Amino acid sequence: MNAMRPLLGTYVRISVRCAPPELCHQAIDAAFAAIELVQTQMSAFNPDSDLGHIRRLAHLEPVSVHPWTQDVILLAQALHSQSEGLFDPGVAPQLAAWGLLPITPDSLVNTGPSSITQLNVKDGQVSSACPCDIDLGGIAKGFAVDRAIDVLQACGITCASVNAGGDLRVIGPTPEPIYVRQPRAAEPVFAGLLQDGACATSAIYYSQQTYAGQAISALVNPHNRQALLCPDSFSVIAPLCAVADALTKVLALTRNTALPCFAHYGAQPFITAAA
Amino acid sequence: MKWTPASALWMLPLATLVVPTLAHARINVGTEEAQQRLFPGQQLTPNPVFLTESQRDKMRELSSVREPFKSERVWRSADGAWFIIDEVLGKHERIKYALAILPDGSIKGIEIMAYVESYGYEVADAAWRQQFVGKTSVAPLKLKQDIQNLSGATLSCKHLTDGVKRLMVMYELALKNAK
Repeated sequence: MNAMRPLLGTYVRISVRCAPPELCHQAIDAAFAAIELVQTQMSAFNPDSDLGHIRRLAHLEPVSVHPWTQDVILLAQALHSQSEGLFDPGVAPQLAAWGLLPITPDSLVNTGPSSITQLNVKDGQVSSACPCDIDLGGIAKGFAVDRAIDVLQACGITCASVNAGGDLRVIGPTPEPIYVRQPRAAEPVFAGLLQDGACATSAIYYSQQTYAGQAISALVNPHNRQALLCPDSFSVIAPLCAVADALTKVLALTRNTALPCFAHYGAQPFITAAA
Repeated sequence: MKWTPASALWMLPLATLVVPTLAHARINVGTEEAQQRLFPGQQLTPNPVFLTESQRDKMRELSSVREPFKSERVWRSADGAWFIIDEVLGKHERIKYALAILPDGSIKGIEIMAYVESYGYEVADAAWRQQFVGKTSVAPLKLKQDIQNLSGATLSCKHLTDGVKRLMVMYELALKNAK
């Protein structure tokens, strides 16, 4: 049974197999609810989300957040550390300046570069010594896919796939064919067979545009705040979709498939050259 | 996790690796199934809506969706909720979707019924659109293969948002005060 809904700013497809229809329905609804919760708490477009509160208030007072928000920030910090700063949701001010994110809250204007490392997270509370502008767009979709898979498994589903606009994870006893969109080509490319794992891809083919005469994209290097303009497609296979999602940015910025962070997370990166 | 890259699968017959066609269906859900997802266990009655030219103009103006709305794709529940099917054609995707509106005018849910997307952002926009000319719905398209697991950069759902906006305009203009 398949279902697709518009969530996380993209199309999320859940496919459940090997279960009676009634169970499929319930599991799919519960999984979509989990994704909706991630969307509610981690969207930069919602000022009342956990992320909205962190951006506006964390430098003034500790902000209480949902356990999942705490999890995703801790994971993002670990990924930042493992990637030597190449993954950093602190690129938000640059994205906002280019109009790719909603306007930054007044309190964050002209506060200088932000980094996920500024946040102190403990016991469901997030605080920051100085104003911190972050965007979880580089990890939240993958994180949502993982939460949806957890929910499906808790419902007793053993065979399923969740695909959030191209960041996907499969579970089940059979290896699944994975295809990757090849930039500039009319056909997707067969990439391989995946069993119980995730695949995420980043590329600029939907986000590249011009801002004030300058070519920009949603993939930004945290070190120099420059947009990635390379037309290739960067994919990472990993046990968790959140990890795969975040590591695609590291791969895109370095083009180096031998970085230690990939091995650390049991991830396998590959690049699909534009046709 | 077990990952076998394509390069390690050289023994597979070539046919399994070749993926033809320009358009790929990513989902295909029937009307009844969509109704059951959005209104479980409820009976829906067809309730075609007649739109005047000025109402259609207003819908176009406020939503930037150009394709005409098909009047017969409206249903109503016993308690006054609405179920509407519509389609939007974006630069990269064609989407048929169902929108459920509660009696108080709030959105109950959205289900994508059919989703067909083009490949290669530079595959001529015209060629992509051309295949839909004269087609009345997504179904008559010949779709050779349904790719389940496609990884790629995120496609935003902006066009769908525009479509939902125009249906909400239609609700305000034609459905809200319907008896």
